[in-house]
Amino acid sequence: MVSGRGDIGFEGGKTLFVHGALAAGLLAALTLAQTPAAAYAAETPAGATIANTAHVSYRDGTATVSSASNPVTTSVAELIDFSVRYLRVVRLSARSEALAFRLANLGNSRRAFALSVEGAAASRCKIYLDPTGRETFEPANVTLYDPARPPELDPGASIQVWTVCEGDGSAVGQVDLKAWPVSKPGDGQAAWARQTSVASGEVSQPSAVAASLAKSQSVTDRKGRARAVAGSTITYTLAASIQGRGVAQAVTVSDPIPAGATYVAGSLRLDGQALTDQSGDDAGELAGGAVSVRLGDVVAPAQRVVTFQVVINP
Amino acid sequence: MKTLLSGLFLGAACAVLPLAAHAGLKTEVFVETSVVGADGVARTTRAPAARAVPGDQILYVLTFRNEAAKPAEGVTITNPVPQGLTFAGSGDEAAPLVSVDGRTFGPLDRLTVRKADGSSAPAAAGDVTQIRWTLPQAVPAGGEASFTFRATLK
Repeated sequence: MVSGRGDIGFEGGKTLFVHGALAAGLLAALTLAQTPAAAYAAETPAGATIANTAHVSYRDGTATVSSASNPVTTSVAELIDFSVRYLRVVRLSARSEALAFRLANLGNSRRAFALSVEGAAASRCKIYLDPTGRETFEPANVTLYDPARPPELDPGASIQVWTVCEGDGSAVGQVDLKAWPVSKPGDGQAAWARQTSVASGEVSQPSAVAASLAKSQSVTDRKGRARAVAGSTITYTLAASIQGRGVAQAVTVSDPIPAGATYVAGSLRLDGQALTDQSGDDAGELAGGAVSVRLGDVVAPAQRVVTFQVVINP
Repeated sequence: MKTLLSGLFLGAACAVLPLAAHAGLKTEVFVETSVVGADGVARTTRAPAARAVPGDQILYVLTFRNEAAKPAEGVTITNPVPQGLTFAGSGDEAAPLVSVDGRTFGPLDRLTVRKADGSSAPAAAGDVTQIRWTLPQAVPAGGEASFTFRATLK
């Protein structure tokens, strides 16, 4: 009996963005579908005047007397209020993820808001503004946040904000988006509901990706029977399973041609698609007495199937 | 409804009130703030409401003073709820009648509003557009009656 053992490897240390916040993101997306983006209650605008006048009427024995009271006015001062909410996570590539947030002006005056990413990952994150509010990150829809030109929001208005964080091979974990109002003259007269608002999303926890390889074989002799004799063809099936959550990077499946057998030229396949035996032209090659197929970065969970054939030597 | 049918205080009040300046009805406005003291008890303080921000509770105090020489009968005070405010009830013992359409007045729990789909629903405080008090008794010459209502700045 001819036997062989395949190998599967990936760069375990250089993983991985894991959807730790996937469930929360899904919830947020569902919630979003139910509430329109601009569903914040409109406050009475700063600078408005609330005037009240009451009226009285009575009889003084003969005539009816009617009169109005003095008017009293109350001017509406500025209320500074705002919020940042985490919405969802979107994978952009094996090494980067975009987290969507919503920044809302809950106050009663037009305001500019400054933004920053806090936490360990801050230096690897960029902030983008997305007025379209789409659920996916589209480079054509977003503009890079410029601290010199922070977004201005009308009362009750909101804008979608993305943080895009690149992995550096280590866990990034929590990403905090912080927002605060850009100060302007007269702020001392305003009522502050809060000074800052922070929302947290999660990217790239340490990988929970595991890879396994299941090898099976079927044998056919020259007469079509399942007998392993000289001249029989063995078809090996290598089923690579990437389990868990995250991305297994640079995954390679390799299997040496067993002793006593000869590789059948051109028999290498990945998920049913033929690969050449040469190096450099596609994912597969026959080199050093072994077949090997580079699967690249694989998003878990996934299964890839490599097959090849050998003929048992006389 | 706090009705001060007291001619006794006439002398003192006259010194403060410019007679006939407002033809008998005076309005004052305050912002009410609840502050929890060191003893853990919340106390409401009032300050004149020259300025307010959304969410503030505003208290209006209306004072009718009969400046005529005869009793005032059938005194009716009407106050439209100003734009930007939501009626938040009256502090008076006898609650005023309210209206959601400016025509029909009644207790709030008896009023209904018509919804967009044509059906009617119980009126809420936010639907109130007018507030009205009617005194069952006459206010004697020199007497006073005061009325209050609260509203929240939207």
